[in-house]
Amino acid sequence: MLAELQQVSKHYDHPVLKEISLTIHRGDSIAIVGPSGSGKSTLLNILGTLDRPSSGRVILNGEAVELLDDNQLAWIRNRFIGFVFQRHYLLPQLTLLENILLPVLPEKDRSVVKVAEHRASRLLGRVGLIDRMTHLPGELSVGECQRAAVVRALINKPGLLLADEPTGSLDEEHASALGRLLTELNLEEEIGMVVVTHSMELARGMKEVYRLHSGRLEKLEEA
Amino acid sequence: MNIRKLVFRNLFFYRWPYLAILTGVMVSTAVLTGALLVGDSVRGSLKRLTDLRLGATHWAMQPGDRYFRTALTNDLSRELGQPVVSLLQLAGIGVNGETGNRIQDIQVVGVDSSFGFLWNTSPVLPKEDEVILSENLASKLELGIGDPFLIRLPKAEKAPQNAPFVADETPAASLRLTVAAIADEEEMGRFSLKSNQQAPFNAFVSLDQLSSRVGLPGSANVLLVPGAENPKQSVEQLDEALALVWQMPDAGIRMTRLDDKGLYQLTSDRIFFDDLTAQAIRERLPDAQSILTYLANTLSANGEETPYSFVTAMDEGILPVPLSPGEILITDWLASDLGIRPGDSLYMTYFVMGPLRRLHERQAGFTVSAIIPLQSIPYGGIMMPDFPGLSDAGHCRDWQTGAPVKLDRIRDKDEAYWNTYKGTPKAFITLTDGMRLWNNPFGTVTAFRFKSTHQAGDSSRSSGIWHPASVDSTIMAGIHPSWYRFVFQNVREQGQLAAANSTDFGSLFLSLSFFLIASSLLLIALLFSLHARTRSTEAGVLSGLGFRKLLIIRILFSEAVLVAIPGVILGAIAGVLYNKLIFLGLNTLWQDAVRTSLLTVVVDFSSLATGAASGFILACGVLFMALKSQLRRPVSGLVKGTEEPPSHGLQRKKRVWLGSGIVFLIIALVLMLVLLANSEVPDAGLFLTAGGVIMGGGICLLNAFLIRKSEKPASGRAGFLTMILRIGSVKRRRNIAAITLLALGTFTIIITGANRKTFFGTERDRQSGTGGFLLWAEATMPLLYDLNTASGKAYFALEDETRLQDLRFLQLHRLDGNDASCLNLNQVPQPMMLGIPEQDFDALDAFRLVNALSEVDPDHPWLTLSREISPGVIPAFADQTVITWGLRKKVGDTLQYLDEAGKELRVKLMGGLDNSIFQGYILISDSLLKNRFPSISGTRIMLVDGPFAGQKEIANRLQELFVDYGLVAVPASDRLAEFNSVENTYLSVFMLLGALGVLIGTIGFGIILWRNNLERARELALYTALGFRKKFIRNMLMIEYLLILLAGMFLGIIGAVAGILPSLISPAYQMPGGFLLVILLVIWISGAVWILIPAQHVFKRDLTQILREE
Repeated sequence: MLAELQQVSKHYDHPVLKEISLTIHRGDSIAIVGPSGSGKSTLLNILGTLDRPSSGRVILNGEAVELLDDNQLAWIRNRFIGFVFQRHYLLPQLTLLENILLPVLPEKDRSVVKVAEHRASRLLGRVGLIDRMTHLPGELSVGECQRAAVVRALINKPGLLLADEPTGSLDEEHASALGRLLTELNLEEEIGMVVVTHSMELARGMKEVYRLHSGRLEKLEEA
Repeated sequence: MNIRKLVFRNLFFYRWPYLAILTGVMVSTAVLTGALLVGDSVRGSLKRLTDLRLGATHWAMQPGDRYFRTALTNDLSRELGQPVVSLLQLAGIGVNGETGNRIQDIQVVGVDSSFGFLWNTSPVLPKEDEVILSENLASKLELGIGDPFLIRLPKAEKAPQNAPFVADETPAASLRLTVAAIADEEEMGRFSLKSNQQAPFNAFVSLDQLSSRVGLPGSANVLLVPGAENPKQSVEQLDEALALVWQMPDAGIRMTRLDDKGLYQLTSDRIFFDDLTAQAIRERLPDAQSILTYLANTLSANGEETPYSFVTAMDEGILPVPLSPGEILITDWLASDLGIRPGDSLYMTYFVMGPLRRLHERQAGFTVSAIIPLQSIPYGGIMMPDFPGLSDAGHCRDWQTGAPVKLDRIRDKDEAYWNTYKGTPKAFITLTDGMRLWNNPFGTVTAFRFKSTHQAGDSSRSSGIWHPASVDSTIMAGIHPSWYRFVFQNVREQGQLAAANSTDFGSLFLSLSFFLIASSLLLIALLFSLHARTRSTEAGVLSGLGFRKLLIIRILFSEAVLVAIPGVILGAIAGVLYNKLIFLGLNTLWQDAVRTSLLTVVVDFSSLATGAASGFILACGVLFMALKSQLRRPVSGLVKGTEEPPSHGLQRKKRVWLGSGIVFLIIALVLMLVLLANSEVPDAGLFLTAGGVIMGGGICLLNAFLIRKSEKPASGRAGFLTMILRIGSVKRRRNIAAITLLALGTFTIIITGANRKTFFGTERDRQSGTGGFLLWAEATMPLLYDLNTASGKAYFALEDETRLQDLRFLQLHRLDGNDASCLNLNQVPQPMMLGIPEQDFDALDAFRLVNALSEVDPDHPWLTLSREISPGVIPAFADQTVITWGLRKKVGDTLQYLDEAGKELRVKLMGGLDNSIFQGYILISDSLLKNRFPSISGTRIMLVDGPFAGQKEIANRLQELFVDYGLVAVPASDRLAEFNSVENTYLSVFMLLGALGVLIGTIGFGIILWRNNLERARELALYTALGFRKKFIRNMLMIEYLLILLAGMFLGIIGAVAGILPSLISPAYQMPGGFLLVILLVIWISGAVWILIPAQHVFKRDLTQILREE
């Protein structure tokens, strides 16, 4: 088991999530759909330790998140979780390769960095960006940037990949290509994957699809 | 890629925003460093001025009106093995020989060739009939080399001019000279022993010529010892050397051989032996007989009178006839003249001299004990002291006694007596009686008589008889030079100390630049927080990628630090330029504050480093705080660039702000009403507090109002203004911060401008700083008489001056010293003292204390000065400004002086006066001053009381009448205004730098608005999408931002107006309204420009793209 949500609730001035439970195993691919404002991103942020639940437990890699401090959470995000956001958020001042290797930056062990550099080359080749690695994000298309963001999320070989509307800023063609890439990578890398999306096409590519409605999570179908 | 590379990559990528931050760091560091350098430069300049005014002089002896032989210089030089320089330094009046233009109170310095030792430049020294002028004097009187120059100065007397029977004429000596050279600052032009940055008007003349012309040939009154030969020498060593070589004439003691049988007489150049010297002579020569000879106005008996006779009080032994107290021994001449016999009563009338030569006639009665032949009096003709103007008179009618002599009383027989017997006493009384009757501050012995052997080389006492050669050393061993103020002072050390402890311009300009520094720091914070804001998503992404928060902060902060480093380096360099700018101002525009144009920039590396380090620490602190504040949001919020969810408890906050605002306003209003109702002179400080509280209250209420506007409206539709206010309320905290900043800036500038010291209309008030006096007059030569008396008026020929008849003169005795007023930047340990007629001041209830010890009677504060607090401790007042800034003391502290007899005198500061015309002086009771410094002759300071009509004309007339005394009379209010000009100059500087700070603040205000625009891009895009015209949106933004600007300035103005209400309602108050209005207008324009720029640039971004992204 990679991750588990146990009775997780979150409320601001009104309840957003209500006693949600979810278990994610290696190789799982889960899509969460739902209307805007239903709390999909909040759920993903809680799962990715970017936010804390109002109640309930989050267990990542066997550890209860509420017992961890900010530094330990940062370590978990760095080593265990890969994030793909709606926008690529590549740093404009860095080349594609440097952006991809950004998660390795805090690492002091040179051998780890070397391994990551090899992996970056392989993954860039895999996503068709090997000849663009020295380019700045400003010189790339949005689709290319988003693919690079996926590579960045995978650079540390995370157990869990979390994607928040990864195709939201892409056109249809690029969106389906990215959807296919995520599905393939899920299989190749044997990682657990949770994707929040409005796109039913993307959702259908996942093994499980959940719908978040009125703060509660409902399973829709098996892929 | 590593962290370092990432940091540098970021720096390059974000070079433009970082350049702006660097500029902010540079400005704040420049202001900080510049202010510190101002302190160094002022201190450095004053030290340089000390070198310029002293030359090589290290030690100086300045006994004032005590004169010594110029030959003493050579003796001391031999003893010390180094050059010693003597001067005769006197105050005089300088006149351009051609134009007649004159300048009062110049420093006339008699020098000989030895004076050249003190200057490296080997200056030209004056020969006979030549004068060398300082540059400022030559320039003032428009004199050049070869021009004629006239000096008028009082004829110096060794005897104090207010001692009994010293001639009251003040004959002025004048020297007609030719300007031989003009001495610049680097030569000797600035020569002065006073610690003052203001250049003296110096006229250097030949010492021999000067001493001869003032009647003291071969005399000097200043000794200078250069320090080049032996800089480690101490004043004690110098004093010891002086004690070895000085001689009786230096102490003013003369020895006269009366006969060839060994009878000698000691007399004093000062007529009376002071008590310490008399006591020492008695101890060293126990057999010496004391003589006290006095002038009796009348000796009368049996209805007969003998006018103007000398009577001697003496020890037993001088005459062979015994005498008891109450008895009088008379000569046969007197017995015959009065027709009296032994056993008869005889009455004597005589004058006792008070201050300003006020004469009081007294009478004493005696019983005639015996009659002796006139011829039997041993050396009677020289029993009379050597009264200048009397003993050398050929006839009685030529007497100049300093007391009125009725010539019609002088009979032929009296004239005949004088011609034959001179001042031989006609009667004798006991010394006890004489001391009781003729006691005066100068002493009670006029001569000593003693016998000596004739054997040369016998230096020991034998059978009560002394050898004269040994008397000198015997007496000199018993007296000490310090009794005559023959003490050396390390004037160089004092000068450097005074310069080092001078007005701390560093702190002053740091305070004056406070707003500028605060504004530039705020600017840095705003710029960096704006920058950090644009990079919050990056921070969120990094956090999402597993970067620890500390690492993210480290990266961003490292960038900031790397920007701050060149910022502070450039800032430190720019600080030197800022310093130069300030000095340009101080040497020209703001010269009122420093009274010199010789301030030069001194760059002290430690201050440069301190400024840079302080700038760095401050900048880093501000940058760190800004960064922390930006990264405080949750990571998810950072990634999306969204604000925190609205905070809870707004209702409670609104109630708190509303309540606080109302409470503040009530407190302020009550305070103001109470102050207005209960005091005649409202406390300005409390009003200022009330003004500040009103401003604070207004800000609280505005805060509550914006919270209310941020709440959901009761009705669905909002008007245009309501909508703007609701929009404004979203960024409530930021807007309130901007309003507070503007309000504080405006408040401070108005308060500063309004607090400029003006007193128009209050100068006639006794409690004001002028004491209600009409004129302040200062004379170069002392006025010996009381101008309020008929005799005084007659003496100065004022009887026919009808315009002056209503005037009352308060003549004040002054002990010379250093000026401790704000016009002198040096710290002065012993300021000039002024003797105050405390009874008169009490009767007038003049001036006002702002600070006093509990011992001071609040109803009669001046009477506190009447009595010594304890032996050797006298009470004093001084201007509070002088106490705090000039002396760096506080009320209750004491100052150390040496009195005329060389005894320690402690002056305790009992109270501080409100800003007054006495700035620079320590005020003590006139009687206590005279008691301790009896030789202070005449008055040089006068307060003139009288009707204000024709004030200037009266001043001019007095100056004309006393032209030979070098009198300068100015309206008392002008004098006060001169002091005020210093403070007002500081206020101008503060107001200008403050306004500059507020202007920088308005740039910060613009940045806030720019940031608002960035954050409100979606909202503005929506307006566009809704079909709002760009102009409408711009206007909406402009109105919103102008409301913030207006609110800030309005609250500042309201608070300030309340704060200065007492001044505003006073008819006498004059606010520099025009100047203030200009500054406020500039702030308004600057604010408007900084509003216009972001409002105009709001559509530079592609708002539709934002909408598409949404």
